[in-house]
Amino acid sequence: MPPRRSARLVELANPHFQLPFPPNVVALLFSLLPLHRRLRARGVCRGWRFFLEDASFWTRVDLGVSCRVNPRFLSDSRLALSLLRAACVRAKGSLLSVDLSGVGSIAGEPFVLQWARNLSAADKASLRDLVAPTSPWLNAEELNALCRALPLCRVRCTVICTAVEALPLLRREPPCDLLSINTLEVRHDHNEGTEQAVLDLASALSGYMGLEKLEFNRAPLTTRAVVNALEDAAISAGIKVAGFVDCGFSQASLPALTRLLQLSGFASR
Amino acid sequence: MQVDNDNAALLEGPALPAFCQALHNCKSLRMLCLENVNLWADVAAAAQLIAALEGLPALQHLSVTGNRSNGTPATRRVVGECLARLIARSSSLRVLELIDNRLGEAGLAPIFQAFQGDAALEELDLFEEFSSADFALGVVLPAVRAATRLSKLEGLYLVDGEQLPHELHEVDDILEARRRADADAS
Repeated sequence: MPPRRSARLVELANPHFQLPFPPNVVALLFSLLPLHRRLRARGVCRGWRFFLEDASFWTRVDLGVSCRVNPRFLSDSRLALSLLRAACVRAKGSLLSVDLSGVGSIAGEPFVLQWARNLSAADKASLRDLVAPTSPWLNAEELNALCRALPLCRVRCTVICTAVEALPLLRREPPCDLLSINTLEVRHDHNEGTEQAVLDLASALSGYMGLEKLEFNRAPLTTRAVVNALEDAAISAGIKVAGFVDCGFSQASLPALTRLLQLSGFASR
Repeated sequence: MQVDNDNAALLEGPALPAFCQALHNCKSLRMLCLENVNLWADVAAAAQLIAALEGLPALQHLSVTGNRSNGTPATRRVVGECLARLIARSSSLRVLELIDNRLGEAGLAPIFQAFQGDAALEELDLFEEFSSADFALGVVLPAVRAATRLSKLEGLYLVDGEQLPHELHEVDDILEARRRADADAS
């Protein structure tokens, strides 16, 4: 008669031994856990650790606004970065999507850029979707660097730039051909040919889909032609939220603002 | 929609009625910021605009920051009454920002009296308004007691030299208790 094996040995031999439900049910439950809890679950027992070795648990990283991860991790981008790196290591080069829209910011270089630069070549090649944090807004230089670091990835983000800098982004010129802007703030640059720059922007904007929020900061929207062109473009692009700060509006601008309000679904978000 | 116009008048003239009508019909509008647009320079026009917001079912956040009311107490009272009607009649408005509007007690009184009804407002920012201790005790405290949904009242200060009456601590206590209850509920 063979000697009886201890429970410990059985557990070692059969990692599913301590799982309370069938493996497919447990996999579903683990996949529903917020990232920080899934990472912590690895420490519960050897069986859970073995189970969570499967890379499929880590290929879609959700640190978005509805991710249910403890806000402590989301409000400090250094902690968020630690979580993100832990997940990336376990994805073993098969990372597919990362949503960072719920992560707050600290001063300095945007953490999404730090992270993307240091991502493994395998993860860079496999990653298909990235939603960048909504703050800080990326400027054109940072955005180009991000898109160059992730050339195969659809990047969705908030951007702050001048009208001239916005043109190649809205035209989806390389390296930003997979870029999708959800919020664009256009700030004024005294060195740009102001009126023509805004008209060019309006032209590029009218063919752009996916932009939800458009803000102008100190852009000189003083002539009726410029305001009308811009409003037409915003309507054509399906903008849901618009902001105009110190743009020199007058009574003559009111009809254009009126047309914007008449847009179906305007400001619904 | 957010418009900040560096204190230049915008909401006036022959195009205003159409703008107000568009506002009135914009049932999906959730947030409106009309900041530094010299809104109260023409009280009749401003009243027309604010009235257009009264029936908007989705409007949750209104900011009229930076529109100073520099008129007489009677004018400020009219401004206050106009905002009070909005507070009383809107079932969706949660946040009202009146930062740097300088409404004075004449303008603030109708606003606080509007809370005697079933106001939905949760946050009111009055930075920086000054009131006497008598006004705070006689108007603000009863309004805060009555406004069961109000959990944040900011920017209201006592005029220089006046001591905070002990009874006014109740305002902070009530609001703090409501914030705690909201946090627990969520």
